[in-house]
Amino acid sequence: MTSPTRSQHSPSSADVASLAPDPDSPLGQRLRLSAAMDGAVTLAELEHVLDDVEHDPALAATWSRYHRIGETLRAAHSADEIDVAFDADSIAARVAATIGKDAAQPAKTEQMTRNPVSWALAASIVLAAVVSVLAWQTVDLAPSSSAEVAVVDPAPRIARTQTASNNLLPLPPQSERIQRYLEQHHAGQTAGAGAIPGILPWVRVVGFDAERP
Amino acid sequence: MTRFRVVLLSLSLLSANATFAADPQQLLARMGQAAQQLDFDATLVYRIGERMFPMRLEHRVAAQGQQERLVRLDGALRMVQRNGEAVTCSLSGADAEYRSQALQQTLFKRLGQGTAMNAYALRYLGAERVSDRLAHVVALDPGSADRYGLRLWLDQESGLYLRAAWVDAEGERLEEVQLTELKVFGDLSDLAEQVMPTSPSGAQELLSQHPQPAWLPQWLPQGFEVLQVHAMDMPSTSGVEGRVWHVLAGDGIASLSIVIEPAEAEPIEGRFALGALHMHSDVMAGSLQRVLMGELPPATLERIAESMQPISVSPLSAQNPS
Repeated sequence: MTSPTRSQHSPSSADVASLAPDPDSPLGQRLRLSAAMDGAVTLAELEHVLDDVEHDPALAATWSRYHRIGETLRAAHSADEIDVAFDADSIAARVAATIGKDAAQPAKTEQMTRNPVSWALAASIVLAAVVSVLAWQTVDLAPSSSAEVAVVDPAPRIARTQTASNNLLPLPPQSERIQRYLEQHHAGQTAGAGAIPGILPWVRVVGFDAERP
Repeated sequence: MTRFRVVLLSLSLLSANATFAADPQQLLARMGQAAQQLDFDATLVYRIGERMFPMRLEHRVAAQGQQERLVRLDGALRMVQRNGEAVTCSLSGADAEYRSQALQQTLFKRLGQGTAMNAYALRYLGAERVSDRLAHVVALDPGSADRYGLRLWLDQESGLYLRAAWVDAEGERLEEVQLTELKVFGDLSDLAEQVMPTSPSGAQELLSQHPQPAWLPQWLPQGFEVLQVHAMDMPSTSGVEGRVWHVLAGDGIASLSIVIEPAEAEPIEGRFALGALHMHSDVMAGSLQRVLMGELPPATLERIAESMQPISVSPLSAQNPS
């Protein structure tokens, strides 16, 4: 079993200032684009972004890439839903620095304060980098206290990581046998026993080994 | 405003919950056809908890049936291939092969006609962008707490799934698969209702070949049916000689496997979870290992396990557990 690593470094205000880019630099354009996608710009700024995208194919490609990242990580955006131990600020700082190698120019601290887009973007990527242990684990067998079916919103929330208080156990030592049971079950799914067609349900089996010691 | 700008704003509006009329039942039927008839390559991410596994999926339609390959893209090479009814697992150690003869009672054959669909409410939730493609979002909400719900994001162009997520009664996502890139080959306008070859009646046929008592559940959630019963005299997965029973049941959306085999000296006992898939494992009748596995809440598996009894074979009782 592994656990998330806690970083030892937190960014200082000086770190933040050094990351603030020139607004007309490529990084500045990307940050403005990201802010527009988050709805964190004025109408005039949105107009500026659209002009940038329209005249810069590289920026248009960036726009497309950010959308994919956003879609993939959407459910992970709510940091308070995730029960993991890590120093988000520190990792975010490193991700933000990686995003913009040209960010070494002096800039104004208030740009980051007024428009925290770079931190939002970096934090979202950090969430993809955070790995916690969760696969085979014991579950609470207490029956649901309510028979009502919740109205599920279109973007369901990510399930909380179960912690030691939920009697988390390492993989059973007979994991070879469990894998065989998994294979038998998913062969039935491929035959049409479930809603997801074909071989796609096998993602569980293909990924299962990663949890083994 | 230029055309490019109009496109950008239109896409933004669509991703902001713009909805329009669409029949979720037809969308699901189209997904089933597309998944069987289209050639496509996809990269995808399987997410469970906060872990993500990148994989590649290739699907081809050949004369001998569907050919698929699913490969994990990081860590140890792990792969599952399908060639018609044969599924070969190249995971760890020796390859294992399974036969997956097409069932009669698939989701798409039950749409609009069965008790299974009465157990779920079908809803169209609107349109969203997924991996730079426009998708219809369909929800299958369970009518009771004894099973999970499913969300599907279906490509508007091809009908294929772009994203699928199991959700619990509180709306929390248990696991999710999302295609991050999709390349479809061939003519999309050529999709047609496909008649799949099916087994005559899995449960009835196999039970009639094995007249000895079978362990079957006497209770299943509404809409669930026993689909197949396999009995083999062979070394069990534990290496102990004896009869191994494998019962497959489902409601067209969730599925359930029950394995009964001779217990080894250290049987598996406990309750485990892998995303939406739960497993209940214990020893019954003193010497039999019992494993229930399915996309069902643990309390449901527990109830099914408690209802199991040895029965002298009656195909009708197997098809319709009370």
